Amino acid sequence: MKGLLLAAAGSLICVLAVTFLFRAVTVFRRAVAMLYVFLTTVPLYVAAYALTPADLGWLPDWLVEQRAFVCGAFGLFVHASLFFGGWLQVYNLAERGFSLRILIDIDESPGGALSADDEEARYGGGRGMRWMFDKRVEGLVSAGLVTQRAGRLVATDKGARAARLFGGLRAFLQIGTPQ
Amino acid sequence: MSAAALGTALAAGVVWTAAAVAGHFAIFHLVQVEHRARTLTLLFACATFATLWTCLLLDVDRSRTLFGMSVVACAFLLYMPFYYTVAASQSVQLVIDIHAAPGGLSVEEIRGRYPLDEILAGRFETLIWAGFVTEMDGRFVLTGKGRLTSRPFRAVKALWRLGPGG
Repeated sequence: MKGLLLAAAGSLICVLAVTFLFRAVTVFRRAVAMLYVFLTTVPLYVAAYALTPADLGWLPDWLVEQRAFVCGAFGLFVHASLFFGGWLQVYNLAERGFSLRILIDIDESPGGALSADDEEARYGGGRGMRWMFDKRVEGLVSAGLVTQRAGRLVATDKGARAARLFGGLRAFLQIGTPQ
Repeated sequence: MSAAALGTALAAGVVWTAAAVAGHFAIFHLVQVEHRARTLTLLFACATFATLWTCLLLDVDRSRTLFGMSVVACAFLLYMPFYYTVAASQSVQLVIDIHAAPGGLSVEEIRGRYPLDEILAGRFETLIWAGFVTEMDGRFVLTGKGRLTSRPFRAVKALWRLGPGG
């Protein structure tokens, strides 16, 4: 139980530190910053696990784990899962989620209702849908998945590998083109 | 308490998680699934109960059983974003299209393939189908479920000072 409790504490510290960071300074590469914050909490978790007693000073005997290494590793797995599957996804959705942005645009609109044309113009706080599309293309270029060649976008080796992997998975799982 | 109990519970969680992932691949490959997210959630819920059942069967105590079930829950947290990247990411679709086109695509050609009004109409259709939005007199309004989704994320965006995004 010690590993689980320390993982929960580590996750809480991680999100508090991220909140403090985002509010205190202007961060341009936020996902990377979040990753660094998480990586900082990992040695903290390991140190806390190594330095605290097995019962944390108050856990009953039946919750004290005899296999300290397995319990510690499990706690680290939980901590990583809460970050990569939890906080980082919350950030990704809030920052990049297409459907979520539409919901927020409707929620923030006067009267709480939008037509499709309104939404196309208002999308992303008034930047419009074209901005969203260009942002994704720019994202692919900056991630090194595609590159500009003679005015055309072509897949890099990394992009080709990604296309084969995801295209293969989509075909195997019978997933059509997303809208 | 046996020292092996934790290992047994964790192993049960890992094995049933693997079974859920294998089940996902098998079902989605063999059947055209309409409610994909629900099916995937159900598979992991089954894996959680299967872990509980295995631990009960092997006489693992409650706290270690909880550990085993946590393995499935954590795997679910990690697997869903991966699945949605495969299934719904527009960026991934763009890479696939650019790679598939001999000589690549110009920005204009990409825009031609993805008319913005059609993308938006398709997404509104999905949002209505999923119960987040409803249409009234040609305008879209949030349902209770839509508001419940929008409000916490508006709060997160304000708390983290994220700006409009999207």
